[in-house]
Amino acid sequence: MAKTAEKNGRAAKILTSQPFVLFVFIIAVSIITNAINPRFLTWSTINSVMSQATTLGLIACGATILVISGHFDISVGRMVGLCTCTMAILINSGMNEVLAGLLGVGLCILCSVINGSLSILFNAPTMIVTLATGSIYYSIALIMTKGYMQTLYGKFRFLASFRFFGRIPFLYLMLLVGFVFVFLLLRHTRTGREVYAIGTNARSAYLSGINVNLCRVKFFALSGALIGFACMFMLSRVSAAQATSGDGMELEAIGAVVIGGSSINGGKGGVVGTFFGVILLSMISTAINMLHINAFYEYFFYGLVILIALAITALREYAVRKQRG
Amino acid sequence: MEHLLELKDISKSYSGVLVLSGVEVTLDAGEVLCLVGENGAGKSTLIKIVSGVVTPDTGTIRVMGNVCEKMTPRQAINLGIATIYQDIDLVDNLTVADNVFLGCEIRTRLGTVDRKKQEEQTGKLLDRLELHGISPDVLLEDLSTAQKQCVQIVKALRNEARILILDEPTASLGDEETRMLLRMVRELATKSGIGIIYISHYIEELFEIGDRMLILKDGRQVSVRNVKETTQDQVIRDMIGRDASSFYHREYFDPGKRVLRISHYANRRTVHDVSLEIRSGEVFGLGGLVGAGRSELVRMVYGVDRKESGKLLLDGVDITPKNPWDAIGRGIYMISEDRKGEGLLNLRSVRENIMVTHNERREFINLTKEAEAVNDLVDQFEIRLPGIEAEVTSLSGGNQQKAIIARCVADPGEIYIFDEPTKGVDVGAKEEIYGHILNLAKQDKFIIIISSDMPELLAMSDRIGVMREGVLAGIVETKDTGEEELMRMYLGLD
Repeated sequence: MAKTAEKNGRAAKILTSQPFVLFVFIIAVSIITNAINPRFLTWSTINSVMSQATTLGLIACGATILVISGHFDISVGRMVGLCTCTMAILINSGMNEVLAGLLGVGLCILCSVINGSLSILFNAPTMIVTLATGSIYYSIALIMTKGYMQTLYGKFRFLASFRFFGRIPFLYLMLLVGFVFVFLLLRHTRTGREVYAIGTNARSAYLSGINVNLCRVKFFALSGALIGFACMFMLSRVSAAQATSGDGMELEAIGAVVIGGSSINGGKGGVVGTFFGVILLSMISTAINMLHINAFYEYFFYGLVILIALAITALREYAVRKQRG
Repeated sequence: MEHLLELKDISKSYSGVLVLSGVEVTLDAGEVLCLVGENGAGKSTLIKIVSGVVTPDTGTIRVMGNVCEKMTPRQAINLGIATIYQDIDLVDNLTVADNVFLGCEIRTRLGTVDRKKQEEQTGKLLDRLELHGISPDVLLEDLSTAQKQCVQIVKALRNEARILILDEPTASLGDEETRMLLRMVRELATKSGIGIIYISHYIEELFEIGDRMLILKDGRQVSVRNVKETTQDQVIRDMIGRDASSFYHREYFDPGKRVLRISHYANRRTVHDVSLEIRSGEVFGLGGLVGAGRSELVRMVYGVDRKESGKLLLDGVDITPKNPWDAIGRGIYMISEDRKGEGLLNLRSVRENIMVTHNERREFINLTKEAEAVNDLVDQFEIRLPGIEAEVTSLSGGNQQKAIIARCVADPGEIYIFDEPTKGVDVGAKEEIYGHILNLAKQDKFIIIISSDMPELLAMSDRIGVMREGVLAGIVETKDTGEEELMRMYLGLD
């Protein structure tokens, strides 16, 4: 009896979890769109959705770590601009493409660690610190590129064009690798536990023997690395970069994390929800396109989806509270 | 004649724990009523009820004959009840007059603040209290603490307070200032006919200023005594009560041979050069009033709070920790008195809460092995829970505390510091926690325990170090010490 009750409880838990709700939502949107325009569920459309999802997905992975641990990085978009421009300039100057890519990743880690360290140094909210640093990164990118777009003229294509079995693009795989990495990190490692502990109560975490400041720098470094790889894949896909390349990505990423059900106040959430959040956001623009809706509506739907996700989260919390009495 | 304030059968409990029950008292115009009791006796709850911050579960409050049900703080103020809390809540960068009229400024016809009129009226009030040293137009930050207290009283008078509640007004004042404040309060009562409720730890002060005393113990009203007809001894006896015999009986055993030396610990403000020695296997109690520097001392020992000086020596070897993880690495654990703010990972599972310290030892966590370890600890500490994945805040206070103790023994430790380990814990769980603490002592560990509950401290400790105003006032063997004697040491009498 007790066992079946527990089983039922677990089943109910999964069925009411944010990732599952999102999954159902994604399926529903796909079916509706496909009913109106049967070209939606085709390989090339899925391809387009997934390739958009790769960049956003990896960045959102990092944002998940930061949001759960109680931090925000709103300089991400500017970092993407700076990093892709740097990579492009290095490649155009004749540097080995792989080396240039890795240097770009290193630059992202550096920028991100600077963000984290400054917030510790000034004891200031990360949102404000990254507002400032983002502006600085943007300016550096503008100065470096003199405001011009950096085109690669067909170089550095190997990442985006590589396909497993001639079919499955390498980039999708990298998206999955990113998510699996963060999933395992959050579940099975000390670092993951630190993310949750610091997010729920940094003071308790500190007194329990966690070196909170060192951890903060670690979280920013992890996020920076993920952003760096996202930049590499994005540059390879679009073959051009400019200072504004990443504009708005920080908000999309945080949006995806929130849609995925992670608490904006920290301490709760997971990367599975973020994954579905990313897919949902990436689908919207393609779906709008295929439904022949005016593209101006795209951001309207972005906002709407985030609000719906917040409503679902609020409803669920209300139900839990009611259940407890 | 009608009473200014009349309380009848006032009771209040928080999540099943009774903090106040059956309080009946009156306050007349021109009278000073003192509230007396140990830490946690219910004094603060009582004044919060009178000032409308807390609604009592049962009982009636009458203010000047009118029954006040579900009083809000605003209503209380309108009824003429002014509360002055220990911490000064005035704005430092406004002038005295602006502070006094904050929230109900006098307006000119144009709707701007009429500074002139405000300063004039403030000046009158200051004159009435014979506070000639304070000018209405100076900034508050330029005043001394005592003067700020006076401004708070002026502010209360501006609201035409009939009842004035003063919560430890002299806690941060020097001798001279205290005397000035006491004189002023006394005059307010006799000359202006204001009823005053006065709280202070300093018993002598109460005898100087009070007309009557309401003595509370564990939320119950022990007695109401006329100051003129009672003695300090009688009041102290009332404060500690007489039911110590029903308390926990611990098992005594011989302490071990190792020695932990806390050597010359000090910070600038709250702890002044404290040194003491503890034997292994001994339960060492730290007693004293709130603010005596007990928690501050152990927090320095654990490496959380900054210290000016101090070394921790185990058998002569320096083991002074620099920070909590350094402390834990050396086998030192501290359980903070602030369970919610500094102990629990509130949103996380019991499992994560218990293993958080242990998990700092390696990067990869084997979930199966971890679950086994957690289940073992849950059994060992008899933590009652729906499952180890349950959110820690869904547990009762006692089980939360047991989970935190379990966290500290997940790895072998040497030194355990318990700061108010049974705060907010029900009686049954208290005894279990005592058992676990003694168990650690039996394993030849060093135990330091802080408790504001005197019977608990006496029952648990082998020796008690009494702290007073940041210094170690003395160390007593619990076997030949009674509560009365201990209370006298806390208060610094004879």
